[in-house]
Amino acid sequence: MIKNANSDLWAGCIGLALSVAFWFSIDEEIMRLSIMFPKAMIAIMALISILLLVKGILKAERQDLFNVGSNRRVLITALLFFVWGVAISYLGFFVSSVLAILAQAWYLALARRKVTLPTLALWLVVAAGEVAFFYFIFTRLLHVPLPKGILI
Amino acid sequence: MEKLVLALGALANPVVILIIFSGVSAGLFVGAMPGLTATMALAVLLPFTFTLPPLLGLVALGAVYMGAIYGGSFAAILVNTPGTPSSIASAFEGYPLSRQGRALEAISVATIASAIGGIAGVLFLLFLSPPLARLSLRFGPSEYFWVAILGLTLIASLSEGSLLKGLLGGTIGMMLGTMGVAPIGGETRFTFGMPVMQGGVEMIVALIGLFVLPELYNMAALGRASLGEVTVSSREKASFWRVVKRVLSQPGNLIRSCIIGEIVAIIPGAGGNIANLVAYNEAKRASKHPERFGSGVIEGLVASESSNNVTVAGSMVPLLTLGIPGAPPDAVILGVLLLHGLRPGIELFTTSGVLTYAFIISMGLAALAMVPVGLIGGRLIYRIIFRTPYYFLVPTIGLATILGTFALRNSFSDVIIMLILGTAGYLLKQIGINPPPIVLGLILGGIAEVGYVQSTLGGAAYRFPVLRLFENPLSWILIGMVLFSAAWPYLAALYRRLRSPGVSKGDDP
Amino acid sequence: MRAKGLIYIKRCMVLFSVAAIVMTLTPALANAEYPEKPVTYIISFNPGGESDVTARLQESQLEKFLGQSVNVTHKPGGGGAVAWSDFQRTAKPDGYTVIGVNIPHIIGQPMLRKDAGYETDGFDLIMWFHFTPNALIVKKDSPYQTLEDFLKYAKENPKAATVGGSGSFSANHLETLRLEKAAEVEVTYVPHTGTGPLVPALLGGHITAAMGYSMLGVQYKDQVRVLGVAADERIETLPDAPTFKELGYDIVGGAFRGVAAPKGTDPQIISKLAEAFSETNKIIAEKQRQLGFVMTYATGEDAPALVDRMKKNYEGILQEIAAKKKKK
Repeated sequence: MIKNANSDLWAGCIGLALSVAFWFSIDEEIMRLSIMFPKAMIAIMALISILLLVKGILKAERQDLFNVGSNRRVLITALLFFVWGVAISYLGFFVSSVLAILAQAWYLALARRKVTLPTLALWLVVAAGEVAFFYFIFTRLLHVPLPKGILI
Repeated sequence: MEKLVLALGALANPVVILIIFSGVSAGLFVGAMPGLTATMALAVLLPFTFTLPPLLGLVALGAVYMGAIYGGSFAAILVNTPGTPSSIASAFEGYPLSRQGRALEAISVATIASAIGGIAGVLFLLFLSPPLARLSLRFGPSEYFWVAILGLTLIASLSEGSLLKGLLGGTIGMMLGTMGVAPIGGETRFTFGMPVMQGGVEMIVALIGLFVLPELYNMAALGRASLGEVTVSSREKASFWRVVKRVLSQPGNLIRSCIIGEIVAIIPGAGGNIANLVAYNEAKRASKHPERFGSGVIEGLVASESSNNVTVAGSMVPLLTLGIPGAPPDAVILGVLLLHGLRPGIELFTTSGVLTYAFIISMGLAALAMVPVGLIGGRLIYRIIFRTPYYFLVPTIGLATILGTFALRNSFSDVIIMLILGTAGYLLKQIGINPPPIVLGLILGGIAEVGYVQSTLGGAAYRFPVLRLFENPLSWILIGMVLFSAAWPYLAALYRRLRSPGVSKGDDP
Repeated sequence: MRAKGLIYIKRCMVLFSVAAIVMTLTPALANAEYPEKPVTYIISFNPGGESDVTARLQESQLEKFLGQSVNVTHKPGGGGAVAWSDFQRTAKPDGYTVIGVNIPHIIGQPMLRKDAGYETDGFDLIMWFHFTPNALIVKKDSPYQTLEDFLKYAKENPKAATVGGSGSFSANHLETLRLEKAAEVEVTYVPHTGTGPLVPALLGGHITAAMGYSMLGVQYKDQVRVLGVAADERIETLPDAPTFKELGYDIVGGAFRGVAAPKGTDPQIISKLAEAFSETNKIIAEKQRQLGFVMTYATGEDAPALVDRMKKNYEGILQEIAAKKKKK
């Protein structure tokens, strides 16, 4: 939780950083046609960011950031999502999804209740069922090939 | 006239009715899943239509399309995520309604509004095609540019809180849209050294990421789901006839939203994505209590859902008369028409008139079919989501979105992009930069760029090519609307101050 | 107490085994329908376009010849570059993935873009199945009745005539440049994001003319006039449209569409696929011809030979463009 943060200042800084990042990644060889619009946009973004910085210094709008609930849970959930995303190409869609669902459900449930082994086993079945349901819809009905890693 | 009668006859067939109902249901499912779009559903359905006679194939496509645009509202209302980009504005009012325990009411409202919108679109198509088609042709590059700018002025009213932060979000969205291949010029830009970024950020990927993920993280943070239990009084209010009365009790809103939906629909390339936002904004402006919007105002939901369903049949005006797809799903329908040797134009309404009219009317029937399917399905979905414990809800929605994102372009990197954008979106939300302006920038940036560059190219022979943007009368009308729309917050504040001097409630625009 | 513990463990074991069975059976069940594997046919553009329409027509026929189902999937982006670069990076040369390819896109993009992500020669070409020649088209009520009228206007008003086309450095664009050179005029080329948006621009009078594909002239026969076609002979569905050659400008070009496999695919698999596509081509020829397509049958060695021929055709123009870019 970040208390009493100057959100205008933060926003302005991020905006400026993005403007700089975009501006300096422009290839010098690129044709005028392809780049005139983005250049104008970057300029506008930079302008707005500066205005935000000015506002942040003069009439700051202070608020508490990250003050909703448990930030640790958010972090772990996010982490699990990314691991899931990456795991798909290695372990295959089916396996990584089942494991990820199980992991997230287990972790998030810990906040609310006790999780016993039989419960976990039941959830494994449910997760497998869910993934199987979607798997069928996507591969059989929609003909979308799902990534296969080493496993399925 | 007799063609219409014959058309009705062709539809009075149990197979047709069956197709309409199953099409609407399938469309509903697709629309409700964030990540699956109407275009995708139609593209998948396409091969199956080859084996069907032309009428049945077209009826199926029309029904799925209609259902999908309606279905987007479910996800918007229940999980604060538009199921399709056409329902972005539905989340603004729909979600607060669910949190207050009025989910069923919201779903019923969305259903009726969508049905009415769908039928309105069909009526426009049936009776006003020729003049609408001519109007649609008048929109050239300059006009596209100004329409996009007009859309961007919406950011002003959509950014709850700081206008500057909203604008910043808008420019961030625009820059996201520039990544990849330039639409004019064809060169790759802003790939930051990764060849996979040549494909840029797909709008749906950003939509899912920026809307769904922060919501999931929010649930994780709170340790519970945000769906409020439906109260008894709300359940009563959700009954069919009461909702119909409620929706029809504000005819101005309904009529205005349908007209907006139709105008936007005939602009090729615009479609439901933009219609719902403009209609919502107008509803907010016309309301006596605009400050209430965002806390669960029924009118806003009606505006959003009716206008987007108008675009289903509405965007087929340029398609059937000129062969120009008004929205991406229309391209698939065009493909089907061509495949069966049906050429858009006068022929379609004379030689193949019965088929065409039957198709158009079938979409109206689909709109009607949405009501029973939606009301039943809506209650079902609500019950499922409400009963599901939050710790299963988060990963399951995650599963659906990861799948949907992947299925979009068969791209694994899209999934990673979605996750990154979503997480970044959550962080940005903390400091007050919200998703809607970002998504708006993403959608409109491309249109604005293409319009701007093409227009100035058209003025290559002038001293100042930019002047081309101000040439056409249609542009002038649009520019006037832009100025009006941008100045509105200030005008409204001025108006209020003049009406009641002494009450100095300064609005910070 | 002990008994309860045992029951718990037993329950767990049952549940775990059920889960394991579901997890293994599901994929097996999903594949049980196909004795061998279906083939994935990637289209690098959005649904609804020429590539897509063709693929749909081919899909059902191919299944008859190959005995397996063919799944058409889309991967749009970058004017095709996203799918092509991904293909060359990740597709396995086992014959179960093929991709639609276009000339001159796969020639022009690697040559003109700093990092297109793929190489022109990085495919094992299976076949080029059709050709859509470029065509200069104007609105029916346009003041230009013939190509000469148009060129006269262009000559007297440099840069004022706007010619729209699909894409940059695409067939449409390069053809316009070649026409400019051959007729010594200067027009302004206005790129559009596909053939789709080109139509309202033309019909709405926002561009003076369009350099599109013949399919456009056929589809909108009643509303447009074709001033010239960039083919060797007149298109049968456009009998009144002269070829550029007839009018004295040796310009032949357009988009060739074909299909390719990853490099290193077994030549036997390639010839089987080539055969399937050829037979399919013959069957769908009639429908395609009506839409303005010109069928070709360049398989085997003819396929890369075509690429080389077109490379030479476009070489001059492409090098000029490359030089202009460096000068900036």
